[in-house]
Amino acid sequence: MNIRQYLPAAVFLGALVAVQLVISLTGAAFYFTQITMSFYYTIVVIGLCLLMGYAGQISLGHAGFFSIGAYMQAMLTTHDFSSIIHSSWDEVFKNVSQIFGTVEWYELIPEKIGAILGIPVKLFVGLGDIFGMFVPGTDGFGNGILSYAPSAALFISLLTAIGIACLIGLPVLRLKGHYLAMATLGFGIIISTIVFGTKLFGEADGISRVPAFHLVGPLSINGGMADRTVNYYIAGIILFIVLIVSMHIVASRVGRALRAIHGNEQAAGSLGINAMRYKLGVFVLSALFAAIAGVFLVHYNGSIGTSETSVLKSVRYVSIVAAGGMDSIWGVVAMSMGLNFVSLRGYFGSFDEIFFALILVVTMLFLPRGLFRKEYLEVVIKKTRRLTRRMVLKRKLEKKGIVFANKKKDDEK
Amino acid sequence: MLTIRNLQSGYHKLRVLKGVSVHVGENEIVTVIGPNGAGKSTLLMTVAGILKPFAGTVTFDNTDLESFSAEKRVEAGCVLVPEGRRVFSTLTVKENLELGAFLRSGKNEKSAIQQDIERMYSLFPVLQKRMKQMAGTLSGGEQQMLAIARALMSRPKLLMMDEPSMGIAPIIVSQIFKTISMLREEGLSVLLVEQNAKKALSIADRGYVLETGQIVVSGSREELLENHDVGRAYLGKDYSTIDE
Repeated sequence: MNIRQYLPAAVFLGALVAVQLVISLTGAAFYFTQITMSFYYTIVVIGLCLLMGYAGQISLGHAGFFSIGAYMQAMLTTHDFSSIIHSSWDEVFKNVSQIFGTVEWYELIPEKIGAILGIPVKLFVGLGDIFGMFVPGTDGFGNGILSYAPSAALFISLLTAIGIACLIGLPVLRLKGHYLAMATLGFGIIISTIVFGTKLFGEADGISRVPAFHLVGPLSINGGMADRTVNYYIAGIILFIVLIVSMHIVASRVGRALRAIHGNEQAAGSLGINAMRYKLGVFVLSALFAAIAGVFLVHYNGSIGTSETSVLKSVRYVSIVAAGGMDSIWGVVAMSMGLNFVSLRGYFGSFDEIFFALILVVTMLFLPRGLFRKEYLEVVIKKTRRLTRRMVLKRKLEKKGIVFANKKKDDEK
Repeated sequence: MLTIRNLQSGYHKLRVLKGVSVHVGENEIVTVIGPNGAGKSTLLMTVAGILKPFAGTVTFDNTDLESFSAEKRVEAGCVLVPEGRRVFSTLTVKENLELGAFLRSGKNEKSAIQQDIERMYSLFPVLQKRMKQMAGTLSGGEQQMLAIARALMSRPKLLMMDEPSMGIAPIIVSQIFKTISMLREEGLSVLLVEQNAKKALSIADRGYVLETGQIVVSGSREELLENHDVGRAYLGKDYSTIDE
């Protein structure tokens, strides 16, 4: 990376401050909410940009990874774990099996698994107490509950997402093209179905009352009116870090390997690039980005609903990446911020999903390389420069008394 | 350097190579010629580790390559220039070259890689001119040069080339072959697979003729050039007598 590559990053930080100042000065602070949410969605899109634009592997299941992060975080920070803490392992298994369905599969597990491991539940929890893993709170009815601290939940949520991405990625990434799209689409539907059918995840109601995520000092991620500006900056900085990480990956030899795999997997192999390892790596990384976005956004919104798991959300991410230019991170970021903001403000009304589908179709038909491309910008600059030069020349000549014959008049003659 | 013994290989259940033995010595150019479908590319892909052999052994530098993955084989110094060039068309010429040195990632390698890139530019001056161009916009001959240069970037001991003359102007083919013999002078071994037998035999020390998965003739360049059957089938000699 040289200094020129950092320029867009500096511009990003500058724009972050400039937008904040403009909004604060004009007193339209309500815009912060949508911009902050757009920041988080953009993190998902950047991960997908690495996967699709650079490595050339499509995923129609990224709403799934977003949901894994968001739902795990919401569940862990709102569910009451106090009864589990004080029960035996046997009861824990019983409860877990009840959560996930009617089949009493816990009976299949050796009864004495806890004893075999030699770890009583209390000790497990005791460790949790030492590290401050559990914090007291209240549920919707004012009853006291004991649930995971957001920071502990963060690790569990992200690890879950990474684990599932590895499990899914290994078999699925052997597929190519349409088949990969279909397989990831199926994954998205599975996640959506699990969420809809699981009591723990609130079924169709989603999960609400997600507490604030206290970072350091007075900084906390929450949707409160007073913290709007702070949260705008927190989200902006998280996005910024993700951006820097992604840019470094793209510019490194790993980035080159990804593009080589995109170009031709067999040729990449003949150069000693282990295609499967890199494909899996970037798949897991993009899933991790999506989960990070989910984790933080759920704290910001304070709740999560089933619409986030919908397949159409995945389609939306894909269409943003396509419209932004696939392998141009900054184009994708600009496109994501613009489209997400407009969509969240509700300008598309009830045609929201149709609009994103339309964008995908139009992009594929007319702008297969995306809207924000250097080449297009160069053409525009060249054209305007030529036009202004011609105007200036014309004016100069007119001053000297030379008037150009109009082309139309020539034709009439 | 490379010893292939009784190699049997193919795709799924289809056996293409039916027991092929080929030897490439140190600092030697060996060519395998043969018609379409003889198994020439299959042979190279098996040696490169892209295909798994059914039977037989491949020994490189006195080590059995059986347990080596494709990446390991590149690391060991046995690299393939695939058929039809396969350059990364959306990457620039320079990025293609850098990818060739993918497995060389040590701390002191950066300047060495840069030096090697310069060396490739001196071997193929046209690549320097096209340095920042997308590889997909190069002509066929230039792409072939790039593919060879890219393979050389891993500093191989053995370069395997699959039909480098395919679809390229004859004058460029001669130029490429001249560069290959030059590289041999510097200590490179080459296994060259070709349909263009005349061109291949012009630079090779020895050659094998592969037909339907079996070696039918082998010998030194002179022997092959004088062999009546080879001459008629691959070098276009004696055709007038057949017509009559």
